[in-house]
Amino acid sequence: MTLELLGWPLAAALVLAGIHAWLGLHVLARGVIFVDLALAQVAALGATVALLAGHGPQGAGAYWYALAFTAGGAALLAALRDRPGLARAAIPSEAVIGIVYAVAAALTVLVLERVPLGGEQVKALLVGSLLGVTGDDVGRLTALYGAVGVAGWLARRPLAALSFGGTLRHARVWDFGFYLLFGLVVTSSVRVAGVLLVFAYLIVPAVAGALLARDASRRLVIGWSVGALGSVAGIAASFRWDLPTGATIVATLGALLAALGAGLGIRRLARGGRRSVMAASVVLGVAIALAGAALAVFPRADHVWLDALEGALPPLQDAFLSAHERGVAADAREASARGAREVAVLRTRQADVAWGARAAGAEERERLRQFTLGREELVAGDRMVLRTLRSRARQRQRYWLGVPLLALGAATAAVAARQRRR
Amino acid sequence: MPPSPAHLGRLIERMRAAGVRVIVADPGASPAIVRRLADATGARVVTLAPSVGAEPAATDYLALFDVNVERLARALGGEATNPAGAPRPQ
Repeated sequence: MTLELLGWPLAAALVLAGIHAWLGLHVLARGVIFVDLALAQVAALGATVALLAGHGPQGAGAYWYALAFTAGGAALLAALRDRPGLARAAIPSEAVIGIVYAVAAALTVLVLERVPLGGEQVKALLVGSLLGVTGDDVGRLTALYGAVGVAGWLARRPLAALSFGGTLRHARVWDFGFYLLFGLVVTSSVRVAGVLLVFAYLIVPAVAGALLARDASRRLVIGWSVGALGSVAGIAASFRWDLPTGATIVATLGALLAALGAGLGIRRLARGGRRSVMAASVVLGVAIALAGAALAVFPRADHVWLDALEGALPPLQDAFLSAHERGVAADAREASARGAREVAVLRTRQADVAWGARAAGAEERERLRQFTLGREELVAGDRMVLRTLRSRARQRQRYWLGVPLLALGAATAAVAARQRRR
Repeated sequence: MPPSPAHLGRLIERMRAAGVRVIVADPGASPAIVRRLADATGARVVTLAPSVGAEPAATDYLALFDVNVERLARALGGEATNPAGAPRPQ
């Protein structure tokens, strides 16, 4: 079942990662990061106009409308390239790209207002449906992106001159050609993967490549590796933890980039010697002081770091409870865990009855429903007891934990700052 | 929210085990996911109108039910007991 379900989505993700890592290098080098979002939004506007004209959201009509609108957007962006008037007024390309995005988004809303289920269409454009990809879709994407890749290879010198610097005749025509290829890819990708995932595939691998290498070909290899790793890990995580696939891949790519950034930061820290360690200590001290101050001033607010610590180490909370409260907390934790297991069993039994896998009369169904609701109420009660006890612990932690952390963090930051200046 | 792979996998297994013949879809449901479910289970897809005006034929409340009942009956291989042309209560 796993391979049947995830084989084609994984293949599609790898194809998307391959073409977008290459395009991302150019987009990053040109400093037109949000051109992807702008052209994707223009494509979405085209698809929306197609809906208004009576075409289906996944039909060929919607695709050609989207492509025609994207070609218009590409022509506009190429025409505005290096305009003397914009340069004189110090208006960067990103300003024009932002305006194209905002106007296209506003027009999409205006058109969707006249289309039934407009909100659903917007959501579909954002998140896509990678899980719904079939073998035919992957074949079409591979053929199209293969052709785009060949075109990019044949035009590699002028495209490199455009993006990485160099002299080039008819730059505006080449620029239009690049944006047209780019628009073609974005229009096709957004239908499958949605705007967010396409943007992540475009930028995250390219940024990872730029962080680790200077040579364009090495950056491309690194970008492909990061895109492929993010795709495989993201799809595996979405299956393991029961999460939507596209959003999980985006989050995984973000986590990979954060891990890479942290690794590079630690390496720089190690190379920077004592001065870098002191700078990191100042940051750490300030973070500890702020966490302590927040706990001391707002004990009832959410303290995610403390919740996580107490989740891993319950004695950390128990230390701030009386002996009686500790006993109540232990009972409530045990009852809550046992109740959650029972509710899961009852829910499965209800699903079996609903699907016809288990026979049950109307009276038994009703009894099962009432019993499940009753168990859920008991679990909710146990959780409320735990929340009340945590609130009591927080009131004590504000003085015994918040204030000392504030003092410790402030002292650490002050000492480290002084040591760094020496 | 789009479904997770594990959820979709459980649904396909359930549908195969129960011998589900028809998938009733909302017009806002992802066509790709619905098609994937239908391909995996062999079930037929019938899209119902959720409200008046959602489709051209659903001109009023009674027409909405006429359209949906007719589609369901056709998908299940039977005839609608109250086809769209039948007289309606005023």
